[in-house]
Amino acid sequence: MSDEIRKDGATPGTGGQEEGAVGMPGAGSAAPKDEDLFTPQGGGGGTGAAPLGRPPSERSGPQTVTLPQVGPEAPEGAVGGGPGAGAVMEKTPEASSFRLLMTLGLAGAMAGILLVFVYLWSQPLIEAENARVLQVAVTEVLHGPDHFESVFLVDGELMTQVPEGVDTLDLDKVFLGYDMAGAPVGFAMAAEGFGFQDIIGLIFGYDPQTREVLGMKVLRHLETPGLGDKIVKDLAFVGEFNGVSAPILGVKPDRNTGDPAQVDMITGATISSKAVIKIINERIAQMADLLAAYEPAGGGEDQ
Amino acid sequence: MMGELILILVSAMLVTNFTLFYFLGLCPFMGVSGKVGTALRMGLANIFVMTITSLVASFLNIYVLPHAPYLRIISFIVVIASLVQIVEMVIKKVSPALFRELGIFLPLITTNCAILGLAVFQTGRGYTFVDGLFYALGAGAGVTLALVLMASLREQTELSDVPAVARNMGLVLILAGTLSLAFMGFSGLFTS
Amino acid sequence: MRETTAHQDFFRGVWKENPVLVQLLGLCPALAVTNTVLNSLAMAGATLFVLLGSSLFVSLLKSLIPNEVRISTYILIIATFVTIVDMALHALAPAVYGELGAFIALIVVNCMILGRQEAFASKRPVGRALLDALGSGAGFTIALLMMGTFREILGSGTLLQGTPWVFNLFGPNYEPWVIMISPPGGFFTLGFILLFMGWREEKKAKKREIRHWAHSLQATARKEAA
Repeated sequence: MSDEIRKDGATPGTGGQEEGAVGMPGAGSAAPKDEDLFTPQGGGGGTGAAPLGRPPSERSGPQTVTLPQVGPEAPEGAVGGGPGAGAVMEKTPEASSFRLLMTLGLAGAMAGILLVFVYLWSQPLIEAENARVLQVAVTEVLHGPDHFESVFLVDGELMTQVPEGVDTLDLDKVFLGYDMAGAPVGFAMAAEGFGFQDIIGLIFGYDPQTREVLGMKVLRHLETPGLGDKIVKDLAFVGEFNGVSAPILGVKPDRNTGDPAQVDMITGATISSKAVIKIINERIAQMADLLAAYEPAGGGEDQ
Repeated sequence: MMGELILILVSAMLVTNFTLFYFLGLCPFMGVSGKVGTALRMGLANIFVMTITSLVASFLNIYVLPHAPYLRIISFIVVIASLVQIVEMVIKKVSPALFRELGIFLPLITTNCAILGLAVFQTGRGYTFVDGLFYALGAGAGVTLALVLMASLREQTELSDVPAVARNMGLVLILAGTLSLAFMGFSGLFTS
Repeated sequence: MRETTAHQDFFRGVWKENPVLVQLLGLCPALAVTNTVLNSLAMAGATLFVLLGSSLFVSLLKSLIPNEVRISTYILIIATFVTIVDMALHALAPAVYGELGAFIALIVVNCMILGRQEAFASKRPVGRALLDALGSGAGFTIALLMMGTFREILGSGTLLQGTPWVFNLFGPNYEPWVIMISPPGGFFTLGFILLFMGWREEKKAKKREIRHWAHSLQATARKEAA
């Protein structure tokens, strides 16, 4: 189609612009061709343009004429990075390199300052929300502990106090819930894995002494709406995880023999159900021994 | 280990195809999918830029951004724009023929949502360097696949009896929808 | 450059040169997050904010920005506003933020925004630039709302899901047409809308053709009579 012809026509234009980083779409003859190439209408052919009744003269105005320019101008865009600007300024510079750098530097600085302010304002709100969501999730899967604390996995050992210099953000962690009397009720841990469509993220409660899963909650998923998303919406399925022995076995509802390790999978969403079960089992396999051996330091306050 | 990486690659390519599932990279998808040859070349250019972007994004995520997470979007887009420019200059020096072939496509990659999308998704999943690399390869391959398939379809429709009223982007989108529907069949490719 | 009125500057972006439906820009968000009306509104709102903010600054600073670094500066400004809206949305409406996810960050490569800066805001006074931004933003919102409504009604049987004012349109026995809220549905919806618009344009063009033909017939008849 005419795509090919226009493309070849556009190439010299691109080459020229790329060298000097000057020349705006309005000036360059490459412009209409570029936009014809680029805008979907151009690709769709003249038949697309006519019925839409826009006179050709108007098209060059608000079109995506600029996009080809983004590349050539880009080196200047390296905020705080100098070398690019010098290399590109070969043709007649209308403004000195210094001015260009200054503009970008200033713009970058102002942007940075503005962002810092917004960041400082928004972070506490975000963190509060994250803490709240975590609180709700842990409370749900442990069925209402009085409070819970974070226990970090450092070099294969579980501990509540991390050694100096270790950033807690990088560590794997579980949550230990306590009841009002200060007795531990179980661990809550997050896990992720591949589902039917994309990654499923969930949190579940686990009692290492009885080797039972106490409850589970799917936190994020991209499963098929109406089918796979029943792992969230089907409360009967979610309820199956309250008090099931690990490792969990997923069975079709009519094949359930009453074994304490069996969970009825969702009809029509077997793969998503299996994925959930597999994610939980794998996480337990990874952590079970550590958790069983862990000695709680005695009712620490975290949340 | 390798199995996991292959999983990442193939699922990025088929199960969560960047164009047909995440709707990224639609501008070139609509605009340059008229001929198979063009589409293929655009796709390859994409793969190249995506791979490098992935490496740089991983680097930024590990060493730079933890100190200033609010600079993520700005730094990514700046990196992408600069990368594209550098790649263009390098290709021009090394192989003028290839540069002529790719023509306008390289600068257009900068505003291709797929590249930025790759960087952002990769960050969200916390991928390491190698994971990210395979993810980028898979994503790029997926975009190329979608482009080439669409181009073949469009070449066919040029010859068939499509009513005049549909001979615009409406048809392209419906074709895209059908492709997307077909690709949904890849879900559940990796099951236990 | 011909002078356009304020009225034109605003309404141009709303329908005649609607960014999504006519210019086919900003398709990524238009297809990805229009599975419910709420998400469509949120995305349109975020984009409008970025558009207004960047148009304002680009127009204010246009004389200070040298030509060579023009695009890079615009991108920097746009990216700043996108980051602001990203953080603000995360802090103020975490549920919506969760739904929109990474697509907020992708507003920065929405061709529509850079296009408006380049074509208009960089050449016009602040007031007009803002009007233009409002117009394009309104057009974008309309397009997204059209898609969101269509997809949500067919795909979930509800309207305004996720808000306290949710309507269940078809009752509990409605089998939702799930494909509509899945990726293919996005493509099909926009495709149908464009087909419909193409059909209408075709009818209008035919009418115009017939009128012209009639006029030319009359003109010929008059000449022959004279």
